[in-house]
Amino acid sequence: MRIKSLLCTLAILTAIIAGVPMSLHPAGKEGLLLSLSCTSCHGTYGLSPGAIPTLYGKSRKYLIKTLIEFRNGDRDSTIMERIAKGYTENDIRLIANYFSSLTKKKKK
Amino acid sequence: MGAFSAVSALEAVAGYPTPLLAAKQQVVVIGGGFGGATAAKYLRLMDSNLQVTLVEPKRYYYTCPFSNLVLGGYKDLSEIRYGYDNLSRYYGIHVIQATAARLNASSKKVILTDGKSFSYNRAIVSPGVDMRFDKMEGYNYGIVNKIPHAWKAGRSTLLLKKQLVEMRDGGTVLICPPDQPYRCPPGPYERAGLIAHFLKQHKPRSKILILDAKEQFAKQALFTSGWEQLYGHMIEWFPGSAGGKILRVDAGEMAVETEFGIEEGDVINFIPDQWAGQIAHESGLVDESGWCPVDQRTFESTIHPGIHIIGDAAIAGAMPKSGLSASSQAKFTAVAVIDMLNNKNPETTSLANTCYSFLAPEYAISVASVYHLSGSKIVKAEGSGGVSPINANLSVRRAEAIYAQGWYDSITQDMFG
Ligand SMILES: Cc1cc2nc3c(=O)[nH]c(=O)nc-3n(C[C@H](O)[C@H](O)[C@H](O)COP(=O)(O)OP(=O)(O)OC[C@H]3O[C@@H](n4cnc5c(N)ncnc54)[C@H](O)[C@@H]3O)c2cc1C
Ligand code: HEC
Repeated sequence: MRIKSLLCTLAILTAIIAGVPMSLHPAGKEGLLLSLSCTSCHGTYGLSPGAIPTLYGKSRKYLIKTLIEFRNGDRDSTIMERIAKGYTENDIRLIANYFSSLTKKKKK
Repeated sequence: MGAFSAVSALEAVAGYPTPLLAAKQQVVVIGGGFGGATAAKYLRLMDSNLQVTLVEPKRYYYTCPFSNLVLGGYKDLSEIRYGYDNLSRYYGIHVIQATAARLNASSKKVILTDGKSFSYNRAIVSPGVDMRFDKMEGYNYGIVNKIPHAWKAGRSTLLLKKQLVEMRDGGTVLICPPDQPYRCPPGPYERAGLIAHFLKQHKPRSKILILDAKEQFAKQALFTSGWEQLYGHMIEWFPGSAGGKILRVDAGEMAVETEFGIEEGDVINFIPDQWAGQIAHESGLVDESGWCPVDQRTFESTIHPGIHIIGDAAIAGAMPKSGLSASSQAKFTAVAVIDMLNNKNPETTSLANTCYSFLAPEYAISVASVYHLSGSKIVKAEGSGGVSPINANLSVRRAEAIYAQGWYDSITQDMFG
């Protein structure tokens, strides 16, 4: 946790994010578009500089499971239950595809 | 001066019909706040071939979010200040420090107040609100140094802070929230709680009276029960029908007149009614309400094609006027603008809003919703949204205070980082 928060200083975040194009290629477009409302809280590309968890590069399986649990009220949250209820299961899959694809893209 | 060279650079581009340069489409963004800064950045992130120009008169932007924490005495104004260097350095946005006087939709030109002008293919306008100095007897621009609204953060916030610091113990603070629609529906009530936090420590015999134009307000049950828990009876709220409605402001006597009589205040925070920022009026983008009607599928003006209006100035269906709404609309509109420049049908997606409000440094509540299009209107996604639970214990309120700070860190990074 400590290392992670150290790494996520704003300067490093800017360096990672700046100039990385947010590709709108058709395959990932729907997921990217849905993710745009998440990133105001979770940070650009889901890389959070502060207390809200990072989504960037988390596994597809974990993201789907967590979001479905939030939606069903099976996982404690302060706010995510109220947000997750606004998305269909298909939306959740698309969003999970998008955030989980991000690390791969960076390595390429 | 940086402004001038950027303008001439743009003019040069427009003047030379070389195929390479002519291929670059120009998008101009007016206003570098929650809507405009986000829109400019996401346009460039999603299409690096676009030429994006951001017109903003201020060198530094002070966020209204967290400006109430400055009034509460536990954040400094310097902690809510941002500049535009990253946007030009890392994202290749032409930032012009200037005020746009108006847009001419038929010639597709922006005219600056210094007389310069340049062309665009599409424009995004996010000027925020302007205060109405024409509506309330006794309230005009001449008295804002005595009765600051602090509804645009910066100098006005500091002035109100100074008045609170200098007030006698046992004094009365009047907060007078405006009628709907206005920027940040829960904002005046967050302010009341955080001023109470300051007064409780430094001037505990003081009182806060909220004289409201309305009969009810956002997150009301959560606010009133929290205030009582934290501050006893320091804060009293009067709805319009019970003496809250203000008829006249008297800056000379430091008082307001209500239907129930005269109310004096040692400090008066009269927050006037609002409408879209001036440039929207000058450019003929407003309807009779004073706000901007848009096609909610693209945020394109229904009056002048080619101009998209986002943020507080826009009439955005069910979405409230907030920083997060503006940010969400900015990204949504950036996608639409790119599609439309490429002659594609604009693809739409969901939108979201959340407003965190503090009642004390370690006590926050929230309201959240997801929105989507139903036909051509933005509506709340069924089943989503709502406010923090009324019966939650203090550890939940503390967790929300931590996440509110997390939200602030993320959204400001998303705009300016
Ligand atoms: C006390 C308070 C607390 C708040 N708290 C929250 C909160 O916790 N969460 C939240 O989501 N929202 C909050 N808000 C609301 C939020 O500040 C606004 O909804 C948000 O700023 C709207 O963004 P905008 O882009 O429409 O306008 P703004 O952010 O105001 O940006 C407009 C910009 O346009 C520029 N501009 C104006 N005219 C011109 C022109 N002619 N030419 C060039 N530039 C121009 C201005 O200088 C300004 O920088 C709060 C508001 C207040 C007052
Ligand atoms: C208003 C801010 C906000 C928005 C908008 C938001 N989140 Fe969250 N998210 C949070 C907070 C706060 C948490 C911590 C859990 C809680 O208390 O709700 C969280 C937690 C999560 C988690 C769990 C992460 C972990 O590893 O614990 C996931 C997954 C998540 N959010 C996904 C999303 C997605 C996807 C979206 C967009 C559809 C989204 N969030 C939109 C604030 C937000």
